[in-house]
Amino acid sequence: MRVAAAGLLLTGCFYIDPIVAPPEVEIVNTTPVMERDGQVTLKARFTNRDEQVGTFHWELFACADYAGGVGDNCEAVPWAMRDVQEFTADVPAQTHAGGPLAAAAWIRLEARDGIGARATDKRYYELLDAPPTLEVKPGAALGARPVGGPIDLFARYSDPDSPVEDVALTWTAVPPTTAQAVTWETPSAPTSDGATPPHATVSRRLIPGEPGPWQIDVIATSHGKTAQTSVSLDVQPNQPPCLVLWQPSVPPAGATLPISAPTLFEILWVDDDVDAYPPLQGATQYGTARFAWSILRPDVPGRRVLDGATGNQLELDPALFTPGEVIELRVEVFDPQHDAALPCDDSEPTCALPQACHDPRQLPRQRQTWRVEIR
Amino acid sequence: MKRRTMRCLLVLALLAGCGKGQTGSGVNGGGDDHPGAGGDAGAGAGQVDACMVAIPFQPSGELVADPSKTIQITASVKNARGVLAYQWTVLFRGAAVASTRVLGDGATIEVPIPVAGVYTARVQVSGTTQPCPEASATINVRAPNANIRSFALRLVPPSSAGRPVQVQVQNIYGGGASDLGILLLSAGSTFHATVTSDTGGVPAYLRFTSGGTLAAINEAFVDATGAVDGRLPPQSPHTVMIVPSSSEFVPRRIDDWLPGASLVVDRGVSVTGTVRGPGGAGLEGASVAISASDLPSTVAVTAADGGFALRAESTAGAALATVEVAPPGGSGLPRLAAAVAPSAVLAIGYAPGLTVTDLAGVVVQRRGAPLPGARVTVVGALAAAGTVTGGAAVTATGAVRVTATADGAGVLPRLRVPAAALTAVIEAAPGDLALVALDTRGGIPAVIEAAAPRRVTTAILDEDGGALPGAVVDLVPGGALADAGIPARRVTAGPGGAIEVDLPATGRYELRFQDPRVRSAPLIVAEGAVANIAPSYRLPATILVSGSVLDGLSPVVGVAVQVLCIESCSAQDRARPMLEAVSDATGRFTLALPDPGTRPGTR
Repeated sequence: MRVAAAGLLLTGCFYIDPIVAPPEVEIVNTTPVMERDGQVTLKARFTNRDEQVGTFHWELFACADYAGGVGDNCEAVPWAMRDVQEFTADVPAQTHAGGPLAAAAWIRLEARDGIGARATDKRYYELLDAPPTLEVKPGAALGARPVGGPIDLFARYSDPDSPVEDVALTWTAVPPTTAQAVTWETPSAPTSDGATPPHATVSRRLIPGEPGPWQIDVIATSHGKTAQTSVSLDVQPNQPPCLVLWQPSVPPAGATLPISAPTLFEILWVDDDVDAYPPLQGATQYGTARFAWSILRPDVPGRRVLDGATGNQLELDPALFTPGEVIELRVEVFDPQHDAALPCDDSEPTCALPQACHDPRQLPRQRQTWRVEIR
Repeated sequence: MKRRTMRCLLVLALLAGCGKGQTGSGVNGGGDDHPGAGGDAGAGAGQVDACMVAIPFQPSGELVADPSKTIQITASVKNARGVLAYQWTVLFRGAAVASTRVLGDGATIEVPIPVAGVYTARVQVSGTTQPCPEASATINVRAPNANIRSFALRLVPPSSAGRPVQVQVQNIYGGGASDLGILLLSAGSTFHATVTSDTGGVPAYLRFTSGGTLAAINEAFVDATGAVDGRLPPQSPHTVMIVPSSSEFVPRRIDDWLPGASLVVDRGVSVTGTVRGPGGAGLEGASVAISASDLPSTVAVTAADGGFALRAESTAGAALATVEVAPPGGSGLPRLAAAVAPSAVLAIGYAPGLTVTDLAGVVVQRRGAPLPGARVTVVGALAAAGTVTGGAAVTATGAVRVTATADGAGVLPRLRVPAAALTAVIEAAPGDLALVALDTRGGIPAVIEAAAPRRVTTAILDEDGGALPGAVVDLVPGGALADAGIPARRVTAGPGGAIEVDLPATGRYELRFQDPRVRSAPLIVAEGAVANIAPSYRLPATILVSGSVLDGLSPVVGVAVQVLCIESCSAQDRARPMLEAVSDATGRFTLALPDPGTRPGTR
């Protein structure tokens, strides 16, 4: 009995009907500027005197008009909604796909405390012009990027809230040494890839004139807004051309190659990073090696360079020489970056520059000599 | 309370029972659900066969382009289980081609073939229990009524490949690009041989020709042991030309040689004789050589009395032998050549009426100004410069080719030439050539007037008249320029396909055009006068022909693929490559061949 009475007293003493204060919620914008196609982060400042945990529901609507701090012609379906206290969302560029530009974002926030009491807040935010988007990448390279070789750069750009044709690009190449002249080719015409919003891609070719680190800065400008990106490229020294394959065979030391009929001497393959033979395909900068053919006759002083014979082949007619005569037929190979006389004595049948070939598996060789016996 | 507690315990027991069932080894364990993966799951069965994907297509015969026709391409997958999905890509000229699924799962697609060329199909199979490699296939679609032209492809591998030079014949269809598929670089057959004589091994140069007229030529240099190892292409038998390094032995040709057969050389037969000058006296220092069936003899130099002795392959059975005599340097005499019946003794004499004159002191000039350092080569042909008698007397023709360089005042030094109608080829400076008629029968001129070269302009265009900057032309001299040994000149077209070059006004050239950028096919313009060089030349339409060089399973890098003409071309053109390419790091090569075209009105 006493226990029961004590229980009643306890419940009676400690039962107090609580006074439930309604919660308050306020939208706090931590994004200084709201731009179309950008991102916005908003926080819910929740005031709950009972310190109960709140739940939050955000909705963002795109509005076609904005005036006097108020948005108008807003969409009925929210662009984004989430149940979090800190709300991050993409800002729309258009009210809906294919619709007019979004002039404002209408934010609605509803908060509830633990017992279901509700608080709301709503704000209109003017949306400003979005900057252009820009992405720049270099084209694939056949191995290292050499001096004199083409470097193709591709810029893909867009403007979320303006026609892509309004975007202008500025290209700047910063060479390793400021004294180096930069060679650019005219950009290609833009091509559209059909994305939404419309994107365009242009390519531009850079011909680096010196080895080292290059930086290419590209700025996209549209309606006063800009986007910038940089690409760093390492340009390697241009490799000398290397004689790799020829015919007929070169006789070993002390032997001669006998010919009794017109014979075609050919260089079939020159390995080079820019000026190979046969020529590399895919860019007009890819040239071809230059050859210099010469003949040394036993009764004529000095090796005679055959003027005009700059191709990869030479036909030797034994009828031009005396039967039994042993002559030396020589070919040397050059490219625009390695155009000087070879640093080897004239008596050396072969010669190699100190640099490696473009293909490291190939032995450096810029001179080849045949000892030919006229029969 | 107690009753509620019991209900709870029963529920827990049931739950425990269900959980035990799910984790039972009979359900998730090794091989029950996935027998193919049983080995992988550690059931101890060993290796799993790799997934293999093939792409057969139908119809399988020759495909001809037709806007109304399609082909069906199927991904045939082996050793893969699962719910397979297929991602197809079909490319034509680098662009994607729309395809239609034939079956729901996408294993078979249908592709239209409206245009001739190479279609490349790729498929990636996913959803398998083990990864499958991407598979691809190239499908050649011919143009309707395509002409067919045969070419020989000569494969010249690098020495590192350890394979012989070899030739394959390919039929090329006109009207569209094609892929030759795999060109197998045969290992050929190895051989070991020794060049021997009656005294032992003989150092020599060996030239193997295989395949008859479609010559694959392989060479070897043999040292004093005479021993040689090598590889020859599979076409046999072979023709071997042996040129001993020593003049003691004569060159020899062995037809129908099989690896393992002997390579024996001997001293041949002796041929002796005398060379006499125009006055009848023996001519010392002349070089004499004989060739029969393109096989040269040793070379003899005449003694003071004009006598010589050389050795030649036995010419039994040969109808004629060509005798050539090169005069002593500075004699002014022409080079003699005559075809005679083989004979052991030859009497060679210059025509008694042949006189020699000296151009020393002649001034080489242009518009009255001397040309210091001008190189002058006097050339000419004499119909009857001498006789060669080896039984019957045969008239020998004469070829004149003598060279001298003018001094600083443009004055020629001693330069003896026959009194005949000749031509002076003057190289005033690199690229500055002139031809001057020089008739020395009535005396020598005081001056040789070298005309200024003619500025020749032309343009290299494609078949539609579009410019081909970067295309090249080889100007191959003919006539007197060739006689003087002037080499071919290569000129590269500039912007607009423009060619500008200075040429001797009265010169003759054959024009060989080619496009290193594979936009057009080669063009050969027969030898003609400089004055007749046209304002432009259109290179023929080209078709791209690709292929891969493999030595079995692996691509071979750096193989020169040379295209040789074998139809409708001269013997000279057959020996000279029309164009060439080199296989890249994946063994691939691409050639721009002349388009054989299609029969009229059906392209």
